[in-house]
Amino acid sequence: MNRFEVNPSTANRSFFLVLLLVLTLVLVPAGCKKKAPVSEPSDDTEGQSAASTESRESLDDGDIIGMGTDSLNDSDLGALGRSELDLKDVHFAFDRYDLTITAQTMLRENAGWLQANGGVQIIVEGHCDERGSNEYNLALGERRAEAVKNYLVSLGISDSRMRAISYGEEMPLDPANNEAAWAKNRRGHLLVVSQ
Amino acid sequence: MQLSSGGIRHLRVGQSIRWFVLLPLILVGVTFFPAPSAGQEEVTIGTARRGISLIDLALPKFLNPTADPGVAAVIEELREVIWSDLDFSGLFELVDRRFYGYIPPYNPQRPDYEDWEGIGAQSFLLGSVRTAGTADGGRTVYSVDSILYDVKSRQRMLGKKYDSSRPLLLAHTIADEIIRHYTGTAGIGASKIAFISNRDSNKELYVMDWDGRRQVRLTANKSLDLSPSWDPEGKRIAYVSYKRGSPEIFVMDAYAGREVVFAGGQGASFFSPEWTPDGQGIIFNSSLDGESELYIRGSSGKEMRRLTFSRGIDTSPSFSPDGRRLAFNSSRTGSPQIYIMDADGLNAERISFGEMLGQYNSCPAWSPDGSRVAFCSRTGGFFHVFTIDVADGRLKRLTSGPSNNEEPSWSPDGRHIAFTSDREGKKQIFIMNADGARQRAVTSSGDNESPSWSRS
Repeated sequence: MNRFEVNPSTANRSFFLVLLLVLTLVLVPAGCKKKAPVSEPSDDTEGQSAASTESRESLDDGDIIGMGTDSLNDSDLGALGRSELDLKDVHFAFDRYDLTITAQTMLRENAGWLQANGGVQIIVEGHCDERGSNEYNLALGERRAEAVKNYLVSLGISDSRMRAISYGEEMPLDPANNEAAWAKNRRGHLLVVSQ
Repeated sequence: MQLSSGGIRHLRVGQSIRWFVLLPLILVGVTFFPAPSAGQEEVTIGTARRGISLIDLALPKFLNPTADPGVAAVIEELREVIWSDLDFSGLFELVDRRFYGYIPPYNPQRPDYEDWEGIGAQSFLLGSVRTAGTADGGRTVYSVDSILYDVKSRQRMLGKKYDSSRPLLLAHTIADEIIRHYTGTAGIGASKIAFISNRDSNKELYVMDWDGRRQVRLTANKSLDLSPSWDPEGKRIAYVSYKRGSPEIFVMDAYAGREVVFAGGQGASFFSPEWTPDGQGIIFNSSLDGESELYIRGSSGKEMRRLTFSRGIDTSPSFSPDGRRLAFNSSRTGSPQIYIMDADGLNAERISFGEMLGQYNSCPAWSPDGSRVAFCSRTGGFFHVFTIDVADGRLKRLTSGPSNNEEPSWSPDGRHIAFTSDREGKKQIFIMNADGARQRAVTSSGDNESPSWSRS
């Protein structure tokens, strides 16, 4: 079953992220490790006087305004083919990022499909169950994605065709709070982004 | 507060006697203590019902001398917020409002101390509010007098006049100054909590007053925003966003409404930003070298330094207040544990030991006074907030029950902790005293998580 039939809101978000990643891959050749220019951090703190010790003081702060609405919006989304039905998710034990025998078998099947479809670029997503801290799970998902990617590289799939990304516990397949849901959510997912 | 108070309840507070000196002694039961530096004063502390002596403070509504109907609502708001701030500080027992009706009309400049003593107050705050023109943008400016009196010494302890078009901010400031008067350190009234909420469908960055008032959304990227961290000045927020596709660290000036990419690109992921205590740099987790490690980068230069080289995950950094050490989360020995190390990455040692703890410990947060690290531990199937004394390893459990309580973040005065709890179903942000007392939710709409309490 397509995972996105299970959770449409996740699908929309993933879909949107996929588009962004495609654009990224088009603009910057995948695997190119050149040091992309990192914007210079600004140091534009504004002097706001500390509470005065005068007996009379004028007391006003500014309004927090944040970033408003970004220029990106849903209408920018175009049609995008996807074939990840041909690629199998792999699953992990709690707080682990090593590949089980079953996972390795799945990945060998996936590697066969990738070899047969040589023009395909993929994103390797690492996901976690909801237990544990968000930040630790983001790092754990990163390790899971890297473990899957590295295993595929060991099977002869070019590193330049893959990009690892962690979503931590942010995109569960099954939002329930039980062992069955958690087992489904601890996964490595291969997403086809171009062919 | 009861009028027939059974315990001894006198406390003479001279200007130079500071609560932060007294509190530890009170806690161990010392009841007689010569005042430092004041020389003349003696302080007798009675037993109080919670094992800690509180100051009985009366807080009547400020007066409306010009009988201006527009001022009445401001007076209500001032009292509600000052009351809430003082109550939550844990330093005061606020005298029940029903008793204020017994006080005859008074002159804020010349109160009758015996009236206030008669309803059990040790100190009381009087004030008045007038309108004083219009600010830019059409807001009404209010002129507010606020005077704190001490009953025993028959003295005015604190008197100020303010002009402000923002009554909420003014109320927090007045409460802060009262707390500063008694403790020598600023209160938390003007502090803010940045957090993540999905109340508008996806996770975006929000900020609110520490007590949950004035919740404002700061991003609208329809992507995924995570892990906010206030800079020490309370102006900029570092956070993680997937809005350009992969997780990168952005630094937003929350007041100017602009931001920069602090760390991104390079085919890597960037997570868990945390400001250095001097505000000159950010430490973060990244896969720059293919592994999940900690890096530090100055905000004014390009230099970037890798701090950890372990086989496991290293993330969730939190600086000691002097900036010389770091607490962080590492799985280098197999399971997530709390470690501390020098700020240059050397001398890492695990501190999460003890029978009270489970095998999964995460979310370290170093306290503002440097003595403790708050974190969460999975025990009995649920995550709970603990503190550990950095010097002797002593543990204290702050939350309990069948729910998950995570992501502790200290208030700037170190007397409170914000955290995330799912005890009511959805994740909400809660605040509590640093000893675990008085836990209460400050958010209610959607799922809310990852609180970062500003440092001032």
